[in-house]
Amino acid sequence: AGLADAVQGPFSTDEPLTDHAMATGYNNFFEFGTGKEDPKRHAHRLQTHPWSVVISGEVDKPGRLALEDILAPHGLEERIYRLRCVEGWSMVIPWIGFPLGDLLKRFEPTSRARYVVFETLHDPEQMPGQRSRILDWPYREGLRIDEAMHPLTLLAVGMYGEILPNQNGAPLRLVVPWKYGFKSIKSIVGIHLQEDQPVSSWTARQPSEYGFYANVNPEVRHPRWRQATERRIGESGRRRTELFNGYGELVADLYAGMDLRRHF
Amino acid sequence: MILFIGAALPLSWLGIAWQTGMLGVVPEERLLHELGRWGLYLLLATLALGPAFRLTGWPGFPAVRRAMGLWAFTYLLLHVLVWVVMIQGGSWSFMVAEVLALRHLQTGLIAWVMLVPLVLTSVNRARERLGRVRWQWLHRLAYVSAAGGILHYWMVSRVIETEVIVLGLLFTALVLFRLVERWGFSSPEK
Repeated sequence: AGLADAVQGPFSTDEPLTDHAMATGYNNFFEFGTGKEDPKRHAHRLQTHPWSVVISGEVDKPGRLALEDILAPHGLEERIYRLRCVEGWSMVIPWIGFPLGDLLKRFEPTSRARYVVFETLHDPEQMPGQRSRILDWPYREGLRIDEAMHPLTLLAVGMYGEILPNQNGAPLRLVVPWKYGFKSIKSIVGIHLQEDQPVSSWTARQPSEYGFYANVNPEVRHPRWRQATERRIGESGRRRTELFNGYGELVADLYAGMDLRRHF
Repeated sequence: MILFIGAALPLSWLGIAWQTGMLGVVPEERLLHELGRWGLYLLLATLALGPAFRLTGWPGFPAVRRAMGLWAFTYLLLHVLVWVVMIQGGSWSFMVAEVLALRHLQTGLIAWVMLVPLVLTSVNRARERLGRVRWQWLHRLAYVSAAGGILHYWMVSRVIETEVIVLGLLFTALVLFRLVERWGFSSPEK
């Protein structure tokens, strides 16, 4: 299905959209540099055709699939989600994509598949930021299987009615709106299911600052940014941050009985 | 005159870049970072004037020290104002909570506040009233402030930034020069 056929999906917010120029011009994508404008400046180097994704690990049907084959069976939906960055800013983005769970089911996860690990492309030719070892490339992120299967969790291929711009994670990215933005890994080339909890790239870099769960939580302090408030890009001043980025009704059950301060 | 142009240039560039939309889609953040960066550069440059004079003997260096120090403070004052007005939206409750929660803000704030007495005592009359020795002791705070500024920069960096390392080495070199000059060359053993 093409982007034009995308239907309105569930869970959308009616808050005003972030300006398109801001959503595509103010990005964290360290593969293209650490400045907020670096991704827009350098992401044109990324070749998204052809693109393939390797699905491996605890699945009955592993394999390497071309992007077209990944997308073919899925109908696309537009979903307007809040995005909260760990750095204390937020946006409202109209994504186009489909639930990650629908994709995972196609590969028939085994009973040992308890976590899903994602990997970004590693190619310093296309991603000049990878020439400096600021992170242990390639970028890796992970979700618990129930988080991955949650209907809110999206794989996006577009935003604002168009194909994902490279700086926003083309051609395929994750969107987990109740977690800090760095969990929503961009330009995915690998999806691996496994039994053990993986170590995310930022957790490996600075475990005291970036936990595995990284759920948006105004109560859990971060040494670098105050998480109780956020700056909605395009607005002046700050607003209060909500637990699970305001998606608590949908996702709080996933963490029943867990100490969210310890599992941050 | 050259100092005036040199010190005003980054500020003018920032103003023009801001007004013409060259600072990107969230210009206040770039403004904040650039003002802080140039303030720190100028502060270190001010500290470097002493050693530069010792090495060359050129009286132009000490002659511009006060003006350059005041320029450094101007940039850092604007840095603070951008944070207060544009980043925090002028909300005192947000600002107080942020400062109480975050070490890098405390560090930056302390480093900045230290410069205030130096600005207030920069006029000739204050210098005469304090006396030369006491005035000089007070103005060594500029070193502490610069160290705090570099520490603040290091703390706000998400990954290791080359620039912070360079500034740190430069600052260390300036301090070493002063220490060697004070205890090394003038010691009776030499």
